Amino acid sequence: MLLRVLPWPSPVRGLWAGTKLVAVVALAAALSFEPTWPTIGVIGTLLFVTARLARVPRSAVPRPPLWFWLITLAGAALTVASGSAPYVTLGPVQVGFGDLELYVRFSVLAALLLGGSALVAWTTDLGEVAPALARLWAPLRWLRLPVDEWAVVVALTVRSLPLLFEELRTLLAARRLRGRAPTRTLDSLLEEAIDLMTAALAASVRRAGEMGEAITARGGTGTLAAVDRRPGRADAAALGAVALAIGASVGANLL
Amino acid sequence: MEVATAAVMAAMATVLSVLGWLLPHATVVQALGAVPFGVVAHRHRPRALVASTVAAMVVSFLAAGTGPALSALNVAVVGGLVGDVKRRGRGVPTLAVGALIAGPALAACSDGLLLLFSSSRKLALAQVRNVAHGAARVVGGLPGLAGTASAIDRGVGAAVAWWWLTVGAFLMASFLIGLVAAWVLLGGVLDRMAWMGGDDRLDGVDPGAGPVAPLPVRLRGVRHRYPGAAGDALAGVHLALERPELLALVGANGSGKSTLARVLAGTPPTAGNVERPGAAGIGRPGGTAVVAQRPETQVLGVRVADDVVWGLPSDVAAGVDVDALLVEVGLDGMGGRETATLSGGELQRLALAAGLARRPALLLSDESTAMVDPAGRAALMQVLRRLPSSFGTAVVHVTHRADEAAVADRVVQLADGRVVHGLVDELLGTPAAAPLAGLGVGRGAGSRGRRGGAVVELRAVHHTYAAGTPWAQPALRGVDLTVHDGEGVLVVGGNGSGKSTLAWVLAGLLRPDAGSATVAGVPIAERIGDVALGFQHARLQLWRPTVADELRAATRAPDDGPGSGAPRPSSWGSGGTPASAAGRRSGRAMLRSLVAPAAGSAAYGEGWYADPRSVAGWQRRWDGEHWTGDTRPDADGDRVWAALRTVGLDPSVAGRSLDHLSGGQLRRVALAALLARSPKVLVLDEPLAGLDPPSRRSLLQLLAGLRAGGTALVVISHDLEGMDAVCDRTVALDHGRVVDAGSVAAEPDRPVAPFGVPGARVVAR
Repeated sequence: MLLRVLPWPSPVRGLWAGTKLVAVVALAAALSFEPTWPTIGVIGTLLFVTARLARVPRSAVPRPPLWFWLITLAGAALTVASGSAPYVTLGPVQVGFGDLELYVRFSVLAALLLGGSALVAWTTDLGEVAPALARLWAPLRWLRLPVDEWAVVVALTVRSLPLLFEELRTLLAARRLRGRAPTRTLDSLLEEAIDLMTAALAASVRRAGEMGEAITARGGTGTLAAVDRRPGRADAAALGAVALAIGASVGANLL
Repeated sequence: MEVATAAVMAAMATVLSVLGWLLPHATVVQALGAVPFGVVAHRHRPRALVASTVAAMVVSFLAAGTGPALSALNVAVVGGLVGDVKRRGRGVPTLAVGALIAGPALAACSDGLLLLFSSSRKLALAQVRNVAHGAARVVGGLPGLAGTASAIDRGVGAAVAWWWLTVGAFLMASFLIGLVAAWVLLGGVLDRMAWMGGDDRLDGVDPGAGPVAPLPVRLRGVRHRYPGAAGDALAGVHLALERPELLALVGANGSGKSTLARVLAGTPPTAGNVERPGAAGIGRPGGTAVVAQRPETQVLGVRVADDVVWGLPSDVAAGVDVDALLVEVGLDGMGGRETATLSGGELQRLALAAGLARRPALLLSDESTAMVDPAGRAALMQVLRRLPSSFGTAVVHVTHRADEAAVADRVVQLADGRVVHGLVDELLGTPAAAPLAGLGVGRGAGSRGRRGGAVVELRAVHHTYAAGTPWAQPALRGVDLTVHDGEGVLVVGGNGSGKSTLAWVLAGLLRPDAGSATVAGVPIAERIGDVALGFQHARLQLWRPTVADELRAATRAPDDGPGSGAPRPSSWGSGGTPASAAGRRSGRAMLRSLVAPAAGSAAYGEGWYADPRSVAGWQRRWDGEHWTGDTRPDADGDRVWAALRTVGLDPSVAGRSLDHLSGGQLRRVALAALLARSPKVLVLDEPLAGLDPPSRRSLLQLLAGLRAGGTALVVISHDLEGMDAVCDRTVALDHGRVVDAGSVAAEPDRPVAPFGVPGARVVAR
């Protein structure tokens, strides 16, 4: 359930897309810079509160398959086997739980980073991303970077995604309908990869051509969105909260 | 065109990166992401590659965070490098030089990032060391493995201590592997896509300098010939368009309709005179607007309101009353909807609104109704009819359909690039009815009597997409359907009625959430292939380079090895030919053989040989000096020949590239491939969409023939015309339920007004 907006309004959804992008990048940087429990605590709390505000139900969170949990458990078991202080005596065996702390911290960190991205995706209309980026990237114009072109490409990429999903789904279904080749050698795999890639790319190139036509028919590129949204008071408050959280986590780490 | 390619390819790379990231066992998929970037670098300026990379990184980040974003960057470097080297026509040495620069740079960047985020690095490396240490202790506990275990442990310890070297070396190695893989893959893909030029047919349009004033326009003796074409697409057309009116432009495929529309849009013709007071101004305010055939690709905005103003200069966009325009085209209050959720007809009306936002003097509708269902078509025509009076816009509507031409103020018919008179009825005709009369299939009680036992049975089938999430979308809610041996069933229903989901369930591609779907008593999902499914987008079902390759793969007997079933160009000339050495040949030899026979084979005697320029399994006659036009299949080609005959295709198409076929031909090839597996039931999703009347007619004839031969057919279509000859039963779906099951009602007779009588009949029903 990637890149899908929750089908209901919320205060977080009302924020300007740029605010959420800046916030998630800042929080990710803070987490990666000091991946300690205090940072995880503060930022995790902020993300949790945001998720509540955004009315994210538990059913929105993808359920990982069984093998994911098995691998996670295996990793934990091996980490415990490596053993380090503090030791706990469980019956006849002495088990060191020191490294497990690192393992858990690392896993929680990864989950938080992924969760931050997911929160943005759940609460942001994809159509708002490109115009927001154009505004955020504005300073880069000083470096003569073609940021408007980038924003157009981002907008069209977002637009192409649903069409592409549909095509890939059909392509894979067609492959299933054909049945498997009796033997699978490296050669036949490579051949199949080229076949499938070519079919997908041929469809894409054709679509790109038609999209190019549509752009020409509109007299080139320009406006991306009907309503030019700008950051407002709520955005200032949200960014303030993010700054506060990052400040608090830095402070907590110093203590 | 450039930004469009960049975006479309970025989207594909994004999907591959994210999938590869989220599914560890699919890491290979990630590497495939280099191919779309390679295509961008191969076709366009480096600037497009940069834009594409930025977009892929941004969208990957949104989807799943930093990881896939960085991997998108990585494959962009790989693909960009390979594509660029190929574009310059250089070889492996240039690639190696590039790799020597890019590889270490990538490694250095990663090391730099890891230095910056040192705490995260330490945390991550600690995991590696701990897990390795733990594993070593477990393994070391086993008898005789203590030494190995401690060696591994020490090795990992050293690798972690020298992390910058380890990480750098690892990245360089995977970069090199990726580079080699991309070189091979991209080479294969680009070779096969070489013929595909820029498909932007409006590319040559001159937006024109100076004031915009497309009307009145007078065409005198206009001729147009496409570069490389043998004949004229337009051969002396006279036409004047002076005031706001609805002009229908009709004619068979290849009669020059679309070319004429393009000339009106501003493409300079190769000869003749186009007089207009100013520039045609395509897409400019007060200029010319274009609405083309395919609904999905017309629309560029993510939300409806955004699309209306997409591309306008911001000062003009501010003055557009989006809501009023949406009311005008009948999309009132839908401004906030995502465009991906619209039906084909709604998308076309949205494209129309976007055109109208520019207040065009001239609107060109190039078969805009061809891919739209009847209700959508009626609504679209109603809007088009109103425009001359309400907007003062002249509308040129290119169409195949008699009922649409009937409501025009004026009808112009083209044949062979010329304006003709008096043939309209004959050409547009009433499709399908007449030629099928003699077949005697599916008409009335006679055929119904032939119905056999049940083949496919659906019982109380439910299916919900994304069940259990906030995005749950029920598609089928308790569908019962039985398909009998040799029967023809027509499934109808509006957008979102569950028709396509039903097709997927019938083919076993989706397992129903509840209820049962069985073929001969076995769940269909376990017998995939017993029920064949033909998709609307036939190109996605066909992957081989040529028709013959495709059909050989499809018709191969189950016990054949893959090698004998799908010989690639490497086995060209297997018939002991002037050009072929025995066995497999290298790609280079293959390329050489493309040129060789004409030059060097005069020494060979007259006879039948495999022509290296033709396809595997096909032989051509060599008269001692030249290839003659005669062809014949060799023993291996017989099956292909037979498959082609089944679907009524001329065997001469066997050597053609799939991408050179028309829509109707593509569907036939797909059908041939499906029929080769002798399915019990054939399901076809919208087999007639986008076909012109002659292709429709012959496809319907083919389907009727298949029925007569005993194949059970399930046709999913919103296009009922002529279907009574193919199907004898209709199942109507609405919101995932069967609402009506009865016999196919013949299309109600349409009162077609005499052509050229303005407003004789309102199309909307």
